[in-house]
Amino acid sequence: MPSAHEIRRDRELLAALASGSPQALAELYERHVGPLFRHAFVLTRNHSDAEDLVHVVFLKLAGTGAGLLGVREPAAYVHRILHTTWIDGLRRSAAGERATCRKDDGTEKWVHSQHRSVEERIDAGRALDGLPPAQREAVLLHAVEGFSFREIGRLTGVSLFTAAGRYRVGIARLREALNRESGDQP
Amino acid sequence: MKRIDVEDRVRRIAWPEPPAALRKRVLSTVRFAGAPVTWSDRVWYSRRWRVATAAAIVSAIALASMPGSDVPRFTPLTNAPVSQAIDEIGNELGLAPDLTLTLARRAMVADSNHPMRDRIDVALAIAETGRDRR
Repeated sequence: MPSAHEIRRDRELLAALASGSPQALAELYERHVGPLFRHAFVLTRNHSDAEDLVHVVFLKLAGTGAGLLGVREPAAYVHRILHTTWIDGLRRSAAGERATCRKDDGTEKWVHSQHRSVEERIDAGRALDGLPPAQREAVLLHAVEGFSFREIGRLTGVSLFTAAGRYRVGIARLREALNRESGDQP
Repeated sequence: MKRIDVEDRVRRIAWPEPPAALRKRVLSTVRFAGAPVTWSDRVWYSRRWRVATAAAIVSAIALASMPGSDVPRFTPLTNAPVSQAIDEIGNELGLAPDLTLTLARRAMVADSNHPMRDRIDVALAIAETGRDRR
């Protein structure tokens, strides 16, 4: 989670961005692009789609104007833009399958050989890949990005309990998958 | 495997990094909001200003409700339903409007302890005024 100092700095940057400052946008980009890209990748499971999604988020952010002055939690705010943009994209796509059924044609694996052991290479990433998007998102935002369930609920448009439930189910399914894979190992 | 182990494994996934070209793409194609931020925008979105406004309103209401205050008390207007009811009863009985008013006034005078007496009185006045205008 961002510290109070980071939040304050983000608010200052948003205020500057509202006035049209390119430097503020550049600094906001540096501060948030990593988490945003991970979030986008978890949702889309595709590098180029994730890039497009992050691109649109910053376009929307820069075009918001004075509304940025009222943002209280900048990190959650940019993730919320990403989430809603992704949802809008799903709705626009004909069958809504662009981000959920790309396994055969466009899915890219995010786990490379950077893990320490063979067991770890088999993979949390692949197990995560098997979860529905909402659960993947909840797992990423809570376990990796450090958002509380309340914040996750706000930024994904569901209640705190739904967000916590998605996370709990996601973790349980990950555990099952990892246990199963570990058991298969010689 | 415990939950904390699963979370640890998730954190240690080699998450993909955004490509360097994305930064250039974002910064070169972005369009900033056209309208400049005005003083009123800053006031409107200021939490301090909102809290101060709310505090001022609460203070004004508290001062007005203190005993001995010269500020007139807020009294909800509840006469309209009474007036409407009198009119409706008159219509249902097929009485002329003037007769309805007269009967209602007599009933009110006969029952001087009626808790709604003042309100009925005002309602009758309102009904009469409305009828005169018609």
